Amino acid sequence: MTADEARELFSDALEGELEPAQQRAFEAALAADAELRAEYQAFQETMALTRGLPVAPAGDLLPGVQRRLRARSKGRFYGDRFAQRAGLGVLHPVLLALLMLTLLALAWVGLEALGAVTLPGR
Amino acid sequence: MATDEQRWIERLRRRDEGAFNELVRRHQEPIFRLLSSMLGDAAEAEDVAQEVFVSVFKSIDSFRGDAALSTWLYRVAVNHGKNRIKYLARRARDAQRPLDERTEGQQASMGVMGSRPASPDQVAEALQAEGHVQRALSCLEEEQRVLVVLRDVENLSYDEIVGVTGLPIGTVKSRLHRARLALHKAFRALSEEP
Repeated sequence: MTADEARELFSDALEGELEPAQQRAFEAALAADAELRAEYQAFQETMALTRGLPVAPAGDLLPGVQRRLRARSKGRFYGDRFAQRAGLGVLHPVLLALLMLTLLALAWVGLEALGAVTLPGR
Repeated sequence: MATDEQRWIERLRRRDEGAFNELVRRHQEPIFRLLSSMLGDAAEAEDVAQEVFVSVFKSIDSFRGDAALSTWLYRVAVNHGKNRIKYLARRARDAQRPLDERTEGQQASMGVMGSRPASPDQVAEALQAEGHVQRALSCLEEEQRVLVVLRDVENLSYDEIVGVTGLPIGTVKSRLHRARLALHKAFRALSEEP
């Protein structure tokens, strides 16, 4: 086996995929050629580094994915369920506050009419 | 009788948000890892990974079930990753910057080469080698980069790589060999830089 033929087998040798006869010929070629042996060793080292490359763990992608889907579907997916059902859209917090104020005012008027509440100075 | 997996995919096809949330949680880690290795930049990888899942949500109907769902997801992610590589190349972004940031920014949380080097010199040497490998990867043509990442970083089987790339197995093996030689050559060149 020539050095060039052996170089063509670097990947297969790395993966342990050489046939027994090929493996023997490959090892003989390495044994006979110090330069080729050093080349294969360096190749193995590069691939070991590549296989050991660290990758930072992913953060939670879900909130970002949901935001994108909500925006692109115009709220059809991952929208605010209450607002969707009520059909109030982004205004619903304001409308809720107004509703609360109205209820409080009505309660106050009702209690005053019943004489349960006395304003200071009356 | 439909398996749990088939029922789950049916829910995905109906755009069931609960099923889709589960899909993201199950697959976000490998998809992010793949893209991070392809792009060499965690922020870009996160952005593209989110786009991958948005795309999956929209196009789940095109999943025919002839491959595993994870293989199909990898295929979608590889396509998005390739597009982002092209986009970044068009913008002529300095390829060096994110790699340096990554090397510096991730060492504390990830360790160096998965081991515990004994001395600061060894740490520095290992970090430099990692940086060189990542830079060498980014020097490869996109298809070569994909093959090296799928096989050597993600440790996918040849059958899975065939499923992701659509290439015949012989082509995968021969192109992967060329890619590894190109990677090794680029790594050697970077290591010999003064």
